Amino acid sequence: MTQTDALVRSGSTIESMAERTVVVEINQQQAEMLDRLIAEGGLGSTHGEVIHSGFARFCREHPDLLGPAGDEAARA
Amino acid sequence: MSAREVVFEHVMEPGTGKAVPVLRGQILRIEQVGNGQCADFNAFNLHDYKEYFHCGRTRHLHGLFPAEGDMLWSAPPRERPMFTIISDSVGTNDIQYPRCTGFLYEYQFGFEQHTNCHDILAESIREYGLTPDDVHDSFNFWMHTGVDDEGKLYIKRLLARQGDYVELMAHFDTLAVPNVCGADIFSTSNFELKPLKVQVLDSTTDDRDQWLQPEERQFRNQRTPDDFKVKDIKVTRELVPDESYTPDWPVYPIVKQPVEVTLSDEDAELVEQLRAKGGFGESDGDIVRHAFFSWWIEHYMRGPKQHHAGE
Repeated sequence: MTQTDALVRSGSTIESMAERTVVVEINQQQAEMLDRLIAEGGLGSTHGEVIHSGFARFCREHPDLLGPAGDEAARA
Repeated sequence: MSAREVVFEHVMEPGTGKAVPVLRGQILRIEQVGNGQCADFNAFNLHDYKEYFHCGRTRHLHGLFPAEGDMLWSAPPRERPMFTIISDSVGTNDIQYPRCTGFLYEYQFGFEQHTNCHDILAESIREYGLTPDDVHDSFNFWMHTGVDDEGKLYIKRLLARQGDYVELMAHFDTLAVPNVCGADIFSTSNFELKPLKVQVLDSTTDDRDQWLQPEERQFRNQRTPDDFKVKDIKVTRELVPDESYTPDWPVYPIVKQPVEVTLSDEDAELVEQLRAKGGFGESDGDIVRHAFFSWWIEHYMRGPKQHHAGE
């Protein structure tokens, strides 16, 4: 059983205690673009790794676009 | 060539326009004779009139008020630079407003007959066998416009004075069609119609070195009729279906595929923060995809981004 198999699917999100896997839907054109990024190197070797790299970089580059953290949001 | 040579000169009187060939590397110069006159402008490929100027692509690539250094593009699917504005002594031009028409003056003001850019452009291109249906959305030189807080367009007093000018270098052989805008009851030309001088000049080597774009297509999707499934121009007005037609879509079907993206607890918190900020979508997958593509646009997209992440 793979790690993913062991996770519990919940809607579009597979959850575990330490990490979760989100499912991002893309089409074949977007997949081609991801293939180009993989070929360039530096962002990962799978579509999932490349999307994760871009997502993380976006968040690092745009702290202004991040809302309040969970507990803070709950209090707001 | 050390100096530009004038190969054509014409003064357009109010109520008139002029269709004039401007060949690759030549310069079209339009100059204010009086103080403050808008010039509407159409343009065609001199060797294939179905390729013509397109406000939409020009607006998309250069914004609402193109000026010196910006280019005038032909319509999809050709999408080539037709001209570059190599000099603009004022810098107020418009590509939002459509050409004024006879209908506009009748509907809004009750004129049965009034000078209007559509009819003037149509009469200008009739010299080359073109029809009123071949007139297209105009580039409006010197038209001084704005967008108000509610997103509505408005017209301001025109700023150009006698001697002000624009110069455009043609990147392929064109038929350029400027006209004296017929709007004398808007502030488009400060409520008075005035002549405009039109010149075509041979450019210098320095001009061409600085501005001239390559003649050949730079992208395979800058298409020509050779790329079309129907290569001939339709000669009848009636539209009837082709009984043998079966669709042949360029990209079809669009097939979705799931990509699993593993998030750490820290990543998951970032997803929650983007969700709290709003504008990134509903599901976790939507939010991660929106953030990823926003990053990709910022780093990889050529040309104006026109994307505000999180809005």
